[in-house]
Amino acid sequence: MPLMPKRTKHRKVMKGSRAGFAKAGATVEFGEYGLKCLDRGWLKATQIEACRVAINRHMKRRGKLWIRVFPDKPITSKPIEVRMGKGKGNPEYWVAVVKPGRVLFELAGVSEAVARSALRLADAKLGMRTRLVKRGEN
Amino acid sequence: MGTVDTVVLQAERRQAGGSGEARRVRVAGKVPVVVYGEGRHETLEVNAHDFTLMLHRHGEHQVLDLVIEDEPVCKVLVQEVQHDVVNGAILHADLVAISMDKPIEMRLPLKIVGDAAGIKAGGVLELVIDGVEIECLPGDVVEDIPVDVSALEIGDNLTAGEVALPEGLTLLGDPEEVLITIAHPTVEKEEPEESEGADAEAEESADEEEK
Repeated sequence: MPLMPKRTKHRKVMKGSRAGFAKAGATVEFGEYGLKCLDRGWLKATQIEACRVAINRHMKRRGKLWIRVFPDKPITSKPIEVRMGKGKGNPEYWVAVVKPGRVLFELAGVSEAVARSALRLADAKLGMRTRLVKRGEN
Repeated sequence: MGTVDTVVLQAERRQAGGSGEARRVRVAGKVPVVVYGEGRHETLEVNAHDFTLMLHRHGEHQVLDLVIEDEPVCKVLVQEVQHDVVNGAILHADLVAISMDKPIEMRLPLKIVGDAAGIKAGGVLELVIDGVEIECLPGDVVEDIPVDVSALEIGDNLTAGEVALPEGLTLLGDPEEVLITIAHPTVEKEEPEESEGADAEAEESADEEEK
């Protein structure tokens, strides 16, 4: 089951802005290693879930994973072969708005080599440039 | 651990303030710095490469001998360092002037020593809070506080009051505050992997229903 809010105030929201850089969530706070995003964009709930599965499978039940982003933005789309107009489309999926500098995932309880390879697998699911950061580094 | 020695930091005065001037200072390979405390308030600039190396070698808890152009030496501590969120470059630093005979309050990081028994049993060491607030004389400042975790089992916590502080350091804040915990590892439920054959059958049945 992909991540999504339990209930929301509004079913549909506007596109919003992705300008600027990450203000909160830009440092490793919980684990020892983190995956920092260098690009801006929308991260789908399915991408986050794919990363989670890839990391956990690689860590083989050792260590601990923190997911630092949550897809709280509903994205709508119109059905195929439908003329424009007649109102906004239906919510189809959920995304997290990510700005450069945001730490997406954090790991603890594994060696640096395992963390590095696990986060590289996660990076392959994202389609964004990322880099590995350690606790205390920026 | 070990008491840190002093390090000399060369600085020059900045003539103008503001973000535009700060940007020009950074382009010139320097870091804008402000020093305050003990009746002092000045905007300065230091060499970015030297400052980065100094922080890398000695950490942020180093008593520095600040030399401003030809002025006499002033003892300072690094109060805050601002980094670029993307590339980690140093953008700005706050230095606080100190008097060596007045106690100071600061936050020192923890250094984990030993392998916890809980980790050998499959647990994960979780650093809930990575530092403690202490009070001491500037001469007693240490780089970090060693914490022995070898006796911790899965589910055990280590509180601030249980940390053996080096001589001259006094703990500030709640001694019951949990610093380190040995948590259970993330347990993933095994997802039954569907075979390709089963998927194909499901698709075929869906197509038939549509027809």
